[in-house]
Amino acid sequence: MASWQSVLEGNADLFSEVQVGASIALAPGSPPRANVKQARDPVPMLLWLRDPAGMSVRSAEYRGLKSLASDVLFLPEEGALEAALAHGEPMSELKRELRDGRMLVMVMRSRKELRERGWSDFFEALGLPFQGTCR
Amino acid sequence: MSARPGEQKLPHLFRPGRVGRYDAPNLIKYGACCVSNYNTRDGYITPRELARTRVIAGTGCGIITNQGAYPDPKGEGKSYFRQVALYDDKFLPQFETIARYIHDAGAVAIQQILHAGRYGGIDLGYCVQPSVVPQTLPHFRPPREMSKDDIRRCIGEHVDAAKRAIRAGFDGVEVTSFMGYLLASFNSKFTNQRSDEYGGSVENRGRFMRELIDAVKQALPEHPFIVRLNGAELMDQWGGNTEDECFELMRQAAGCGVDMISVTVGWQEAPESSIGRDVPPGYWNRLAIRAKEECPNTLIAYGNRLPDPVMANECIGRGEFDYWEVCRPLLADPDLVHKAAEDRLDEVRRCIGSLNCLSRVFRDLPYSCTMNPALGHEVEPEYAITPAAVKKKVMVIGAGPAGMEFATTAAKRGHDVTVIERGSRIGGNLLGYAAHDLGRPDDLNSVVRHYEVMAKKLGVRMQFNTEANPKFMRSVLHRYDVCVVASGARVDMEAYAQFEGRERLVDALDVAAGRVKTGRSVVVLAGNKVGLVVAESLRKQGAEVTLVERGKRIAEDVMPTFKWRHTSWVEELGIRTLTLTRLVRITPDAVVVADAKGAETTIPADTVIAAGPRRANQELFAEFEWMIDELHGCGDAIMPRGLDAAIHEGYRLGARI
Repeated sequence: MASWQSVLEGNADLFSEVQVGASIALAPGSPPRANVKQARDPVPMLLWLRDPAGMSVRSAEYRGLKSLASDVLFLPEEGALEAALAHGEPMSELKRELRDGRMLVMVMRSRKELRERGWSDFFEALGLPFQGTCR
Repeated sequence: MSARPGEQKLPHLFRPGRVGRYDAPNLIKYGACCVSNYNTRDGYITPRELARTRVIAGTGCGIITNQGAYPDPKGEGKSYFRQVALYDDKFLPQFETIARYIHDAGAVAIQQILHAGRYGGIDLGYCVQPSVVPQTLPHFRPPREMSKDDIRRCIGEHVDAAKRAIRAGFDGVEVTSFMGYLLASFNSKFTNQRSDEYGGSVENRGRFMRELIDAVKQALPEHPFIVRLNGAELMDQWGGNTEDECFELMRQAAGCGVDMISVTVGWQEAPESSIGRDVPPGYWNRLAIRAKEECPNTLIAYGNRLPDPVMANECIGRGEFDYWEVCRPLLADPDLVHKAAEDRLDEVRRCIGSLNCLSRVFRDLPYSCTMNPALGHEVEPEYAITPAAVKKKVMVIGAGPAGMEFATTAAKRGHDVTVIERGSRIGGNLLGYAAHDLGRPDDLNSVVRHYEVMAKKLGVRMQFNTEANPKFMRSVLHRYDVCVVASGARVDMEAYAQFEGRERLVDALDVAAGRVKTGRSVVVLAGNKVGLVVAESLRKQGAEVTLVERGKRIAEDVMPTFKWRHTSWVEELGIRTLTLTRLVRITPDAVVVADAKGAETTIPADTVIAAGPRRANQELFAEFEWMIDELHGCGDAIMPRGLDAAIHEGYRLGARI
């Protein structure tokens, strides 16, 4: 958690517009598809939560999509988060993992809501607006 | 009628075909590759679209597929901002016109029905899916699950739309079951997590598609029915269908008696590019080959990243598929098929895979094409190439894309054109760009080859190794009526005048053109298109490269479809990138830069390359103003931009001068 905290602090400019209370959930450890199911046993997850002071990293439990209050869900393959942290530029590695499919993003709100909640810079940095086979 | 020379060279492609009870003059199918966004917000076809479809009808393809119409009045199937609708008879008159255009051209007319499912509901704020599986891309709408009643209603809407298309005069219909659209989302185990008879096994997941095919076939037994299916979703690592499952679904469709399967690749949200310039032509052919093997009694159409008619002819000759399905190359050059038939392939304007078309559509804009400035403007007489009322003697300064596009367009209209070029060949800065491009340089070089061929065929005189300046102008000015300044842009080296060590700076365009040799440790100032291409190329050759960008992000002047490619290449190549960073000074062996807070960093560098800011080469405008009757400009000489603006402005000026 401390490592991710320093990553978030090192990239604070990407989160400067994020509204207090907005969050991203990272639920690793399962094949992505399994995480989509509505009911499942809780698994540990990380939460990147916007506090008044900035982004903070918390531990939480993932219980399925229906009970997830986060704006975005990251579903990394086994070891993908560790690989990102081991990389000199963790955010760049996250972006690479998104592009090559080792990490799946699921957006839990509409584009308008995500924009209003301040995620545009972060999404832009990850290249999400330019993802997809036709882009 | 005897075969034209190119038809004899490409005998398989120009062989007559048959789909259902309809004869097609050749084995080329115009694919409805993407919607145009030329229509009204409520689904009516516009005069702009009709003018465009008239050009499509005249492409010479044996089968023409009209772009996808959404079939439901709610608009749940509507995925594009100005997509056409076919849920009511009120839309029929324009469809009748399009069907007539296609028949007048001698082709089989197919109407595509496109219910976008997961990517639909653009006006609604939600989309419909087999199950509630959140979007993986933020620009699509949140999902709602379809009930069995919804499925039945949706099938009915497809049948009604299909009947309407036939009433309008189309010969057959096509439905989309690919790219993540509605049927594809039922077929895929990524999005279909239902536990009823429409979910679970491949058999169950394909049920909706089979029921829909059956319903349309029963309603229109005499008319060809085509389904577009993924040979690969490219979603399998996220739990989507494997290729084996994709082909099992293809067998299901064939078993239902579809007349043709159009094989495609990828979902819109797949993490892999399928049709961009960095995908080699022919890369996905194996999927078509397998489709033909698995469904030998069903016609297979295919064309994903297969832009070359020669290659397509060979594939058909080997029995790999039955119809070459082509769209984007015909956006770039609507005369491609005719040029192939007439053995004039050297004149073709190739699709360069920039995906300008799609990147505009995905931003709710009408599609356009880098290579075809008239695309989407067919309804406007101002874009037509018509004989010039007054034939003029025209001098063009600069043989880059803007100058050459102008020169060839003006020459087609009867003007007498001479191009004055400082260098020794056609291409301008595009040559340097192509030489360092990590995508597919051959595509960019094809632009240069096109202009070389056309200049020769149209009698455009090329005067190389000639510097256009006032002295030169005075010696020739009485020979010309018009001067067009297409002298491009340069890196503004004067912007560095106040910096210590500026004499060590080299110009990125000189590096790109091979006029300057670089060292092993390089700093590139400006993360713009020019800077990126040079940085990537030098890094690939082994240099240590640091990119210094004053702005928040690199690649801000790059077209969206290539923005992510550049940022990926920069990361993959390990190019150190410093954004929000400015130059402080250049020392004999390093560059000193400062971040937004003023903290300085010293970067060792034996070569320092300036790639920005860019400045238009506009000086000739002032110098020539009183020397010639008409003085015009186009391309980067007006304002530095890029290939798209250069070609489009050159064309527009050439079409009206």
